[in-house]
Amino acid sequence: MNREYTTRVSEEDVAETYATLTKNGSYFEIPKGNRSEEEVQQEIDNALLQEALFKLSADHYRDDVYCDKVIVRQDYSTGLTEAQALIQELQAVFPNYEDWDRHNHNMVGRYTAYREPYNNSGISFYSSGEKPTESLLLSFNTSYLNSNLLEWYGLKFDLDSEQVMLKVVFRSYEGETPELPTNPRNFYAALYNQDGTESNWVDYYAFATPKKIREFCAAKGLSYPLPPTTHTDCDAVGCWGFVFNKDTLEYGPVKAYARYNQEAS
Amino acid sequence: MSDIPTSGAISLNQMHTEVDGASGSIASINDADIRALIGKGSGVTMSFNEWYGASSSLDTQTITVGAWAIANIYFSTAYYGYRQSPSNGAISDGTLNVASNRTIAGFSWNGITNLGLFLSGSASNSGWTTVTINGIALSRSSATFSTVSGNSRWLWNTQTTNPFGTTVGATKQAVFT
Repeated sequence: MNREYTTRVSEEDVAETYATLTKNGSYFEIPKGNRSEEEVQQEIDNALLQEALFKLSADHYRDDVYCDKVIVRQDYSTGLTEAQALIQELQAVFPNYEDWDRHNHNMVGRYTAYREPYNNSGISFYSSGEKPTESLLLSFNTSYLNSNLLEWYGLKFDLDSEQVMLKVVFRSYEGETPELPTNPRNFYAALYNQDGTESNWVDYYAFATPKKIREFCAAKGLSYPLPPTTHTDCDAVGCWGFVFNKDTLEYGPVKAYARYNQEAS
Repeated sequence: MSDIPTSGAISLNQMHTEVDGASGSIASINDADIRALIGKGSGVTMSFNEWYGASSSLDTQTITVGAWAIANIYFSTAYYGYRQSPSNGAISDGTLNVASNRTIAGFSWNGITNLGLFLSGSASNSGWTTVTINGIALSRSSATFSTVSGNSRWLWNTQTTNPFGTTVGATKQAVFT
C-alpha cells in the first residue's frame, strides 16, 4: 500500500523537496531529494513508526503478542490491575522470588506452550531497568560480559512444574544465525533452565516497519505474525521477534509486539 | 566561532572557509555566500575590514550534556543531550533565533530514534541550513520534520554516532548556519 502525499518545494532551494502528509492531526515533511518512490514510502513509514514510539507511555501499557495471525500472549506493565492479579498468582507459587513491583514498567503476562521451548503454561515476568545480577546469571549456570547485557531480563515461571527459566537479553551474538532483518538497534535473548542447560532456541528482536517484516517473511517463507487487516499504519508495532535454532539455524515462529498505552489503574 | 578575526590580518581564504568553502580553493569577495556574510549586493564597493568578525552562524547553543534512560521492555534506550522536562542537562540560551526565538524543549541523541531537535510551538521547516554539533554537521533538509500537538521537531534517523558524547556535564556547541 502506497501512502498519498503532497510534494513541497522549498522556497529557499528548489532542490529541497519534501513529501508532506498529515495523519491524526500531526504534520510530517519527509525529505525526498533523489530518493526513489519506494524509498520515500519507506521513510514515511519510518516517520509514522517513530511518532508511534514517541507516544508510548513510560509505565502504563499492554503488549499484545501476535504469532501466526493470533494473539498468543498479553503482557501488562506492573502498575496495572491486570498485572497485579498475575503477580499475586506468582507470589503464591514463587514467594518473593523477585521484587515484582520494583518498577511500574516491569511487565507480566500469561503464556502457553505455543512454541518451543515452553512445555507448559506459565507466567512471564520482565524486570526492567536492571541488568541481571552476576549471582542470578550464575544460578542458571551462565555468565555474560556486563557490557553486552541490556538493562532488562525475563523470568518464565512454569506453573505446572514450578520450574523457572531465565531469559538473558544481550546485544552481540557470537554464533551463526540464519538471515535476519538488520538494524543496529536489534538484540538477542537466550533462555536458561534451572538445571543450567540452555535452550536451543534463540530470540532475535528487530525494529522495523510492518512492510519490511512482511517482505522479509514472504521472502523466507515465514508466517507473518499479524492479521492482514490490522496494524497497517505503523501505529503500535515497533518491535518484532524472530526465533531460531542455534544448532540447525531453523527459523521458529515470528512474533509482533503491539503496544498500547493504558489508563493507570 | 567565526574563522574570520575581529582585528589584524584578514584573508579571503578565511572568509571562504567561514562559508564552508575548502581552504585554498578559488573564491572571490563578490561570491554570493561571501557577500552574504556582511549583507552586500553584487558588484558594490567593499573593503576587507568590513568582514572583521563576520560569521555565517545564525545561532549558537551551548549544551551541557545530560543522560537519562527510558527503561521500557524492548524499547529501553539511553539518551544523551538536553531535555527541558523532565529536566536533564542544560542549554544556553535555549531559544532558537532562526525559529522566531522558540524554546528548545529538547536536543538529544538516543539509540532508537537517533538525533532529535524539539521546539515548543509550531515552527516552519526553513530559516537555517545546517546544525553542527561537536564537528558533526547535520543538514536540515535531510531531517524528517514534523509538527505534533502544536510542537515541532526535526529527526535525523540515520545519525548513529552520538554527537553529544556520553560524558555527563561536558559542554557541546550546536552552531546553526
